Amino acid sequence: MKKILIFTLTLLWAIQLYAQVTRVNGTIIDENGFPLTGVNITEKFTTNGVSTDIDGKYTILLRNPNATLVYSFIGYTSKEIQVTSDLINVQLEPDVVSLSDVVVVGYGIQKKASVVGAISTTSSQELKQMGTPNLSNALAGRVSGLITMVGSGRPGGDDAEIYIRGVSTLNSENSKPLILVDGVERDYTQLDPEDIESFSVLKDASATAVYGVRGANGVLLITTKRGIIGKAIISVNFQTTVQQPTRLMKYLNSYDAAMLRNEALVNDGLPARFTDSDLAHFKTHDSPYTHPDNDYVKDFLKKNTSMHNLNVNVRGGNDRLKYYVSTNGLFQDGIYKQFSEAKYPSNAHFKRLNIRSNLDFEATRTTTVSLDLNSRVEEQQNISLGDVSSTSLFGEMNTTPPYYYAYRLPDGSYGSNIDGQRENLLAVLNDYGFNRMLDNILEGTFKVNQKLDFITKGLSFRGMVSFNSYFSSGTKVGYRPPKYLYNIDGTYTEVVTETAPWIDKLEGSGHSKRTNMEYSLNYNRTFTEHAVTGMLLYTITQSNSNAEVPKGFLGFVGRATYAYKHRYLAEFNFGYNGSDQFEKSHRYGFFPSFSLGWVASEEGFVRNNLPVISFLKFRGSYGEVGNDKIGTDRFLYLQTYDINGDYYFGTDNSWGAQSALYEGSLGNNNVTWEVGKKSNAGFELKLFNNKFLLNLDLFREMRVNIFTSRNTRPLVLGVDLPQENIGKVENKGFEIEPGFENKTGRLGYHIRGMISFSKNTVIFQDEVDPRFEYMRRTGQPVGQNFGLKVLGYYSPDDFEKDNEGNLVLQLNGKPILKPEMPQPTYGSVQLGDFKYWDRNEDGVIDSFDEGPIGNSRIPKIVYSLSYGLNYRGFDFNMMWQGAGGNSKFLSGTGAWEQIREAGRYMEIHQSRWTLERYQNNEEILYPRLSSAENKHNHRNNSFYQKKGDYLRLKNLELGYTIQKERLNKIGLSNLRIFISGTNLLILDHIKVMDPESNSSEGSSYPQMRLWNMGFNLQF
Amino acid sequence: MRNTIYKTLIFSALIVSACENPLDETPYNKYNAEFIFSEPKKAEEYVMRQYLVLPYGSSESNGYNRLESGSSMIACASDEAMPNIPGSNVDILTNGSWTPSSSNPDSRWDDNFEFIRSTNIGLDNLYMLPESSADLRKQFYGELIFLRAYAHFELLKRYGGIPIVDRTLSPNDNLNIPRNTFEECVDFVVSQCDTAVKYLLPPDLASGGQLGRISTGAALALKSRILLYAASDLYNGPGYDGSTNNLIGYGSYSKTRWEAAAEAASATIGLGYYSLYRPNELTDNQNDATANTNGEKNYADLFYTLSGNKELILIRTSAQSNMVEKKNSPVGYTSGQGTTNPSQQMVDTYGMLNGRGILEPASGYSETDPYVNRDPRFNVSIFYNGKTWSGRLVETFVDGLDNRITSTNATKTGYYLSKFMKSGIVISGSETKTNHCFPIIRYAEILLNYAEAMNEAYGPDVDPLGYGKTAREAILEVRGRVLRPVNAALSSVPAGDVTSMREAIRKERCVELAFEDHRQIDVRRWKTAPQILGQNVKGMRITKTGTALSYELISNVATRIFETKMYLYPIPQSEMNNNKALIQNPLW
Repeated sequence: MKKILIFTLTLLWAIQLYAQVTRVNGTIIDENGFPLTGVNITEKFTTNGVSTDIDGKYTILLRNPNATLVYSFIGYTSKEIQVTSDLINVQLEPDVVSLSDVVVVGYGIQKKASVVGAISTTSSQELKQMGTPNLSNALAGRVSGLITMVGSGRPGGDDAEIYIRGVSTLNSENSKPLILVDGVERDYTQLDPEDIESFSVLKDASATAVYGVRGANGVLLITTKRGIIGKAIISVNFQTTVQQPTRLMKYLNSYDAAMLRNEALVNDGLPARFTDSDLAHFKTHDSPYTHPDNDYVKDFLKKNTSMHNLNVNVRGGNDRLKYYVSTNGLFQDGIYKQFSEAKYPSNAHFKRLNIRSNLDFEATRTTTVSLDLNSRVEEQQNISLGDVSSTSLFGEMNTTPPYYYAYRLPDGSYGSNIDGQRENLLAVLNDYGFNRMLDNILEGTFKVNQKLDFITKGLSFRGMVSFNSYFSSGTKVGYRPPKYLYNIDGTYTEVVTETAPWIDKLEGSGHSKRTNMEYSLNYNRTFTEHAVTGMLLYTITQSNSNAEVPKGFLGFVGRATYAYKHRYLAEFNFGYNGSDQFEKSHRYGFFPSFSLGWVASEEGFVRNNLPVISFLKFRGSYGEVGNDKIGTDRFLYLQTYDINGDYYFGTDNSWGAQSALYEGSLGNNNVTWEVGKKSNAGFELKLFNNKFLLNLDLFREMRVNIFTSRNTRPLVLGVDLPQENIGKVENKGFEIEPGFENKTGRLGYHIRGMISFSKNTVIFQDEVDPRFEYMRRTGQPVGQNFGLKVLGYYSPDDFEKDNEGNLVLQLNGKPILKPEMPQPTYGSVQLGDFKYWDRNEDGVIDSFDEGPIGNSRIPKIVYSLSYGLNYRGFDFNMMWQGAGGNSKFLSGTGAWEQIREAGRYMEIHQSRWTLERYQNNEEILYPRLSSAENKHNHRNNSFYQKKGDYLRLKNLELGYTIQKERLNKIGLSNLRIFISGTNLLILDHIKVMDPESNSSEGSSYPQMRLWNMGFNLQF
Repeated sequence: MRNTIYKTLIFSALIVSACENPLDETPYNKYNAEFIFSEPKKAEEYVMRQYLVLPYGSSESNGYNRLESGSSMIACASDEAMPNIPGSNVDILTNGSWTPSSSNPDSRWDDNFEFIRSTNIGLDNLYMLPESSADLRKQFYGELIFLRAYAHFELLKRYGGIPIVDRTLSPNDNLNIPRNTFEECVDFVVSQCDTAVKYLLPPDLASGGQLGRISTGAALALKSRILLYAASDLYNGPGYDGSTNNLIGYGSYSKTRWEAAAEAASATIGLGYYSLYRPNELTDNQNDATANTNGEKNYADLFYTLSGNKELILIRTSAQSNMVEKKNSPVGYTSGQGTTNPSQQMVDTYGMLNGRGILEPASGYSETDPYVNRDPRFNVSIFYNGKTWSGRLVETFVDGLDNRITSTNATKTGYYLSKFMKSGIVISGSETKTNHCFPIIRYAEILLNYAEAMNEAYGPDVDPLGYGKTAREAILEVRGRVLRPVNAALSSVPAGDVTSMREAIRKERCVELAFEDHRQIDVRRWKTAPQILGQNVKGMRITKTGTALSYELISNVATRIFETKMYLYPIPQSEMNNNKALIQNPLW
């Protein structure tokens, strides 16, 4: 019996053994049922693995019984299957997250996992969150490696200054990146973020070499949304915004200003301007016509002003036609007050209407045709001073003392000061009129994509023709009423006479157009474990602007990529292109780049031994890229003669003059592009099932052949030397992006940080050997500020005293500096003036003591931290954004005391140096006051040079998405309502104006704080 | 299917080939040298551009506001005047802060070398003009030679010896070019003037529609001026630092230089073409009012009359404008900027209508009513309190219309400048404009040059070489246009008294050529600069009580510092750095 039992058991064992599978085969298909090539099949907990062939078939010999097989393929969700049969067919589902994770690269698209260039991206969602009317303002802190500076908040005039990885050439003007919208160089700042599908920043040579002579400063690629297969989704997005200036200059009132003004005059040995009775009037405000106390900010600026933005779009498609059509309207008001008695509207405003249509047709089974049309009209208005981009209202507010004039005199006429030099701001807003600029933008693209599989599988042809047409022109309407001085005896003196009303053309940038054609052959094929792509492209561009000679650009582009088992990646890119900036014989340049990548997480030993690593890729690149943005002059290689000036002969010079001809700048036959030699190394790491991510990039660029002037030729030559390609700048830095996201139950949250750092150094420029080594600009960063260093203020002990301890005065009433003190050379000094560092210790303070102070204007470091969570239908986001390592130089109305009759006193001026305050040991924050520009104090020195570092609460958003079930009843599919704020807080060193302001005097239209409220609706 | 594709490809290829190469553009708005110099009209326009070397300043129609930045006249760097705006750039030259590295508002180093280059290019290329334009070619040649010499002269008077550049330099040349000696530079300018005379138009042809053209008269007059300068104390003897440094002068005195200067001035006079502009005769038996009116008119109209004005030898022309009127109108007039405030010492230099100095016996000067019966040139040149202008009296008394205590741009000295302004020109509202002629050299200067050189070479009352007039006669000719009685005018100078005559000539030069770019150079070459440029600017505070005016002298409106080194300008430090062969002027 026992034997039988044992036998039976043995038999069963044997049967079981027999039933064990040792070899599995099958076919892997994708979601559409097509075979998938190159899918990895591995036996779990072993290094045993194979991949599918071209027909999606595989065979694997198992090492262990009861094995589990893992099926993985980039872009698809991995599947694990317990082996129970020898035939296992698998359908892989696309990994939704990673499919959307494609990256737009130069002239194409790549899967993010296989990209080897340094490219960072941001999403439409994040850009929308900011609620700014101008796309360029929404970029701060969103993309690593991108430096933005928003200098002004004027409606329609608020484009940010943008640099990718800082500045690598000697002139920041020549450091602007190339910006392409849907592959074409276009104005991008007024794109509606809603219309944007993806936003890529190409940073290293691998990514930008394809742009050849134009790629060295980095490239921004913006792609707009296209149709997707599915039923039509109609989206309505509405947002209404309350805007407030982030910061306005604050100034003292008439009484305080008059006191300080008197002190300043007395300091300079001049009679005080205001008598005690004047001061009393200022204090009691009992004589407003002769002694006004104007608060221009309160009187002429609104506290809040509004903005509305509506976008309606429809997106959908079927297998023959896919469409995305969209319209967007934006109405943004300025912050100038409007009064009921006004003759003309004068508030700044910006209006934008945008219509976009992106269509894709499947013309045949192998042919796709696309038609993209985008049209936009814009209108911006400003007051009638200067041109439309002028910010003179703020300039006027900042330069006009508060006691200067009464807005209206007793008889209702406009008041003025005796000099008549400052504008009456009430008159400016009421009667002066307006400048109104209209912009029309029309952009079109036609594309054909033809599959050429009949020639060889994976080959296709693409052709594109596109144009941009811009027209900008406007109207100016104006009138200048007479202005009067109101005398103390009640009489009027006409100071400014009337100018009759006018209406005139406002010169805009006129007409410009750009046409662009592109033809390319693309190859994309996978042979089991080898994935190969290739591209060859020809592009030709021509642009005209008004009467200018057309500018041309043409070139060839190529790319080859190779991937082995998705682990080992290699890429070669080149641009061969030419620019008409250069002479015929050396107009074309060849710009190659190479890059390698290794996806370590695809290696079995990583996957098996380090399961915490969900993804790890190392990549490195080297290449050369060009920059032909070298100065505004064209035809630098030609020696020409120009008309300049005129001269009169004869006895009646009311007749026309004869024009005069002169030798233009010398031609330089050898002028060529700058070359950026760039290397980049980095890794992308994801841990704990993609919850934690860390990206790191290190870069270094040597920019050579920088187009710059020689400074060491004597003027005896009599002509400026042509600029030459002689400069050299090194730029290096890093970007780090850590992030974490998780979901526990219904609570999802994420934290993401971003730090970008870049530091440049001038390696060579043609510099005169300075007398002192610290004066050398070579070796310093580009744009390094130089000036005198302030040590403190002159005190009585610094001057000669007589036996009784009184200061010895010169004939001009100024004291005599002790001979052992370094002697300043900017005019005689007195108590409370800046004491400068005699850097070279030669006993004299002069320009030879000017050394590097502070930093350049452009930040070295930019960083951000964003945090978001969602719970049930609620979502919350917050972003802090900062920049630093830069300096801001303040001057004029941004820092100085009142200069003659122009300028204002600020709070800081109350803490000025006076003998009394000095003796009382009070805090002194400012030198003694001067009544006019003081050549000694008002210099480029370390006092007026402020740290530019700032940290902003850039954005805060709270949204609520209403549950679907409730919506379905009323026919909606999605509804989200939100409130958000932008530019809510600033921490900085500047204090008096927005730290990003592009004016050293605080006279820019200020950046705005936005309070947004709105909804997104889909049905 | 394939057909479609091939069609697409062929079509695309056609598009590609149909496009012209967009890189092959050329500028349409530029000329090249061949085009310019083979066309008489274009060549003339090229020469025209070189006329812009003539002093002017940066701002169109500013006349004598010849500083490149700011709107102050160079007169504000002498004892003639000061700027109304504190902190003006011109102050660098007078407040002691001047160094080789400060940006000298009157440097003119770069633009004069630029013009020298342009004239050299012109001279190099004139050969391209066709034979049919041989006369024009000659004339252009003369003009370019003169203008090149003039640019050298402008540098010489500021810096002493400078590198003579008489050929077009190339960037590849050795540009470390040393300074030529003072003597070589003078000889160069003189020889170039001599050459130019052979090619230039005579004065009678450089008039009418050709007024403003450089004539033989201009070349002779420039020669007169440079030889007068060269004979002066600053150069004709040891250098200002006491050395024999030949970059800054001759090192030793020679009387022959005065003789050469006298001869050169007589050559201009000897052309017989030029005369003082005096449409109204002034006679001894006219009453004061008439004499005054005639004298004023003779002097004032000179600066805006182009037709029939034979006093003009070398002028800088300009479009019709009212910029001079705007810049100089007292600030109480709408749009008036009052930029130049004449000093009390300048005001005191003007004598009386009767030709006597204010402090001379029997002058009739009254300290309580100082502006009556003054030299008509004073009335023309200075806005004083009580002068009639544009329908009202000028008020420079304290808190008067033109001197409000609330107006920081109001006059600092109690005076504004009115010379060169045409009365009746409207500067605000419906503006009107007028011709101006800013004489660079006019006949009165030649007479004064002549008097100075004759006095130094031979004495005040002799004419040994028979040039036609004595020093005294030349001075009287100048004074006779505005003063009366003509012959009583120089009674303070005894016959044969060189020293007294020297004083009289210097004073006359100061008055006649006031604010015309002479003073700051004249006091340097006379070596009187330390006393004159080193003294503080004086002004007048006028107080009105009821209708009574009281006058108080302010002795220190602005502090002035003159150091010995300032006899010559320092060569800009940047140029010293770049041209290793340069030697800086002494004491800088």
